[in-house]
Amino acid sequence: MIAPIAWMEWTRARRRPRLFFLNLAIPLILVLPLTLGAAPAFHAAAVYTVLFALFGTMGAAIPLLRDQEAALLNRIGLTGYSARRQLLERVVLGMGLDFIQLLPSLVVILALGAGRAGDWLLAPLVLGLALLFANLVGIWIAAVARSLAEGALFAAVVTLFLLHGSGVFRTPAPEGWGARLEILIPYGPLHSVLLDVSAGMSGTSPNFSAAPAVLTALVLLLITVGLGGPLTRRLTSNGG
Amino acid sequence: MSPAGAGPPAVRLEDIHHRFAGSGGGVGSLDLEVSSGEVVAILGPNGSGKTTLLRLLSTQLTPQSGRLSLLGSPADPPTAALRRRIAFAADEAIHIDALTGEENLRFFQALRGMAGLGRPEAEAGTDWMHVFGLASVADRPVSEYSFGMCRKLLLAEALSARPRLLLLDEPSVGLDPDGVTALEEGVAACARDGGAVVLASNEIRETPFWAHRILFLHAGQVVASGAPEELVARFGGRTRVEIHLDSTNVTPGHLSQIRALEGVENVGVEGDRLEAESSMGSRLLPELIRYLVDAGLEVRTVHLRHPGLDDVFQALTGTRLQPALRPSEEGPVQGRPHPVPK
Repeated sequence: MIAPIAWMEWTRARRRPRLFFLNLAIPLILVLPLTLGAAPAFHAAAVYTVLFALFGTMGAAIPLLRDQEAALLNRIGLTGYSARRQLLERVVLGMGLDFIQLLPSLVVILALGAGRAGDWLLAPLVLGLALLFANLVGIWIAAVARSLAEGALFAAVVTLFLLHGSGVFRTPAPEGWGARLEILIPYGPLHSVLLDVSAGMSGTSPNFSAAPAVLTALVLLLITVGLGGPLTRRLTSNGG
Repeated sequence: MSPAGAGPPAVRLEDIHHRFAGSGGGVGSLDLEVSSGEVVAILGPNGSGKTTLLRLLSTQLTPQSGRLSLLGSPADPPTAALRRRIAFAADEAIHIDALTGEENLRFFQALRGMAGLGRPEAEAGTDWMHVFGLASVADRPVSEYSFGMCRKLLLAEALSARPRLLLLDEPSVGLDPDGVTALEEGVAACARDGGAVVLASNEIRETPFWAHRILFLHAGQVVASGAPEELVARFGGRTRVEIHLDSTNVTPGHLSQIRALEGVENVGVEGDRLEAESSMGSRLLPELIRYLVDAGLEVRTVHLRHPGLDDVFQALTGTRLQPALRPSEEGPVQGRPHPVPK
């Protein structure tokens, strides 16, 4: 087996159909009234982005903290399994599971919205990018938090801060450092595409380019995996 | 008795010190060597430093000072290769509840790079599942396992790793008699295979039978070390005889006569109970009972307690590892009441 951690997480997810269904249904329940109602596009797009970002961040932080509290991370560490590989597998699998569970919601947004045909290709890509970033952020939050409650709190605060930094909560992009920050955070491209779809028009964000955000996610991925040893040591020492 | 292997010791601790701030628990100035193929039992009461020592040996903790070598190489920092050769069955059985017993075993094997998950053919781990009686429940999720089954699975996982250093913390906790037998078999197999075994326990009545060497730990220090029989002979004291009589009419004259018998020491009486220490073991009994019967003191029961490791620990530290045995738990060999026919 090439990736035992990913296999374990995937099997866990399959063995908990109720949780899997809830993770799939709850975003849908939140998304449907907005798409079917007459919510202003800007508000709807902001809510979608907040939902997806929180889903990804908490979906990474909470299971990691749960395994930390159960001393499973410590037990895994004592087997000599590579900490870098463990984190990489968790990020990739976490992103994949989040994507599967959020895809129906995204399809509803796309189907009931009025985006271009190209949005059907672009939206899943930027969602995947945002989820990759969110999962990485979730791992760092788990490394800092000392309990599940702290993890949930930090995930909410950090995600809202990043969402604000990516321009989700304001109409025009600011000048100066704010504008530069905005294009670096991977929630920006997701919000931009969702805004286009919700508004029924293209080019809502004329300067849209996902390249800097892709770079940010890749750099954070490299840093996270590169610091896999210290990060997992921190995770295991927090959980005792 | 100790089958010391060739080459460097599996475990070498030199002046190891690791104390926890606040509680003061941990270990201090600890020196220890364990050879390949040797089984060492660490005995001590709660808080004596047993678990700290095992956590140091498992590389979970780094000593604050001193030198720690494991399997011939320095343990700080621990390498992945070193950790793969050490198996630690902690006192808590940690598993992934959603996975079956066999999946858990395969998962931890895979983490060690040992087995391909999902491979259908039987592998080493399956054998230990059989030995521990888990084969029939191997395909059931661990969430359905009892505490004892989880403990057995943990031990099967540790043994299936074919470790060079096997660490067991309170290994018999939660095990039924078959489980204890399987554990004993596992420890012996690991040692036969050239692995060193270090186990920590305060279950003094079972542990010595598995160990080549006993290490008594008290307040983080080694107070005695040696083969079980050697320790008992050196520190265990004398055999204690306790006789319940039908009457309370034991006079000072009777006591003087008993003291005069060969091998009798420290005679005392309390109500209908006569206590004495014997420097001759059970060989004292025929003459003592003959005297009592001749003196008109009818004997109801006789309890004989040979010195054990608990007595060694008490002699060395002034405290007992376990509550003193009640008479009903004692006896000529392991502690059965031994009524004497009138």
